[in-house]
Amino acid sequence: MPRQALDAALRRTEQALLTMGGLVEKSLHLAIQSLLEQDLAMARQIIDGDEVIDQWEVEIEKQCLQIIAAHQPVARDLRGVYCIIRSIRDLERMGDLTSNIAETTLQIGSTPLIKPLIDIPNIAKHIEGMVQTCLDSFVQQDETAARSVKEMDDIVDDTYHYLYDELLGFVAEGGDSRRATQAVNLLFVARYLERIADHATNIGENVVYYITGERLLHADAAN
Amino acid sequence: MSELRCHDLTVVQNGQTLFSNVTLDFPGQQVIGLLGDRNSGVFPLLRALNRMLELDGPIDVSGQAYYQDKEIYSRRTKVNVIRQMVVTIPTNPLPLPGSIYDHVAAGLKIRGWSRPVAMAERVEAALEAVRLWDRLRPLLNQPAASLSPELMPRLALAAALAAKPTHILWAEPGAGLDPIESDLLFDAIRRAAQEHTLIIATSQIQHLARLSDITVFMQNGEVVEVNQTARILERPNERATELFITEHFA
Repeated sequence: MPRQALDAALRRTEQALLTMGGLVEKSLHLAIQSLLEQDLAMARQIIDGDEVIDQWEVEIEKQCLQIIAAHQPVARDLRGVYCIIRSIRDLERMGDLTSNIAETTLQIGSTPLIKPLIDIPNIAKHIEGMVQTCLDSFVQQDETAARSVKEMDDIVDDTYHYLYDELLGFVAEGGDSRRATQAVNLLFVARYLERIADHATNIGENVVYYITGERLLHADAAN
Repeated sequence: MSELRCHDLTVVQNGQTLFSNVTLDFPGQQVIGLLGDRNSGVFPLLRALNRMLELDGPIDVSGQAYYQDKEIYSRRTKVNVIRQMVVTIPTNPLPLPGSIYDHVAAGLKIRGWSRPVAMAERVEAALEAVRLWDRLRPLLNQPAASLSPELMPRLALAAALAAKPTHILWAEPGAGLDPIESDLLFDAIRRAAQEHTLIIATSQIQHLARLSDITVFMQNGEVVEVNQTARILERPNERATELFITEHFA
């Protein structure tokens, strides 16, 4: 039965997306942990692990193309495949950004941190929650949860702006170039986190499109 | 208002309701796809639009169908006039006796054309429209029956176009064709829609994805949804439409 074959292919691809999402979530968690603990070995592992995330993107994209070629999906099936194709691109970029955080950790090295890191781990934990919400909403077809990711992103944006001002203050103080350099590095980390949250928001929008057909991205132009 | 439309049209044949309360406009210069399974009513509806359905047996009609504001099912309406302007192409068109030229010109002759030059121009233009002119030009005097069956649908379309009807009705066009010939036929149908209205009945959404501008989805003799085909493919309004096109059969 063609429908059964399509269902099986979709389930397999959805499962692969969840695996890739889990890897990104774990990578983000470890990237922040390596920064907090200044664990350089862990940071290197995260950088190496990004290749695995890239491989998943390639594999899932292949599966999606296979589904399109073999089944010519329409309606909900089409939206599902489209959602997956778009989301793996976001996940891959999120993987790159966690890798960038790990690279920043290596640059900071063993130099003592200029301040206790509180907001960065807090916001990273919040973003992990965003990723988890995206993946759960995808699995459970939960439109409300998928829409909530956008609201969760507002908290990230606010925190980023606060961190931006605070860390720029260290740079503006001048004097100690070591402090200024580390402040810039931490500013990059904050920026990477903010971008990761944006990609999670994209995935939430992809899931809303999958479930309802409503386009949230450039909504005025699309709907 | 569209040249061809029906209002609250219900047709019963042999005690069975083939479709009921169908209200539809068929706007010009488009391909309109009637989508549904064998019991959906799309195939009898197609045949009802030019009264071909009654050739299958007596029918009871309620509601109205109009062609250029003439009631199609009025006793005063001449059936042949309707069928000359709203023509049917059979699913599996067969060659007519005579030459290829005769086949394409048959509709013109039925309409009383006799001037050879004008007729030859029409035949050439029609064959050109379906991209068969270069291929068939040296073969025009050959028997139509000598042509490959694969070419018959495009030849049938050329014959229809030569007579310049306003509407062309076709159930499952291209059924059984190989992918290349199917592509050529679908291209010809799309081109024909620049001057004509084509109404296609099919159970295959993939065909309408390539062919139609508007899709009418029917189930159990009733219209479920009328929408742009692109919209139906991506985001149908009705759950029943989605279940049908994603092959979630009960």
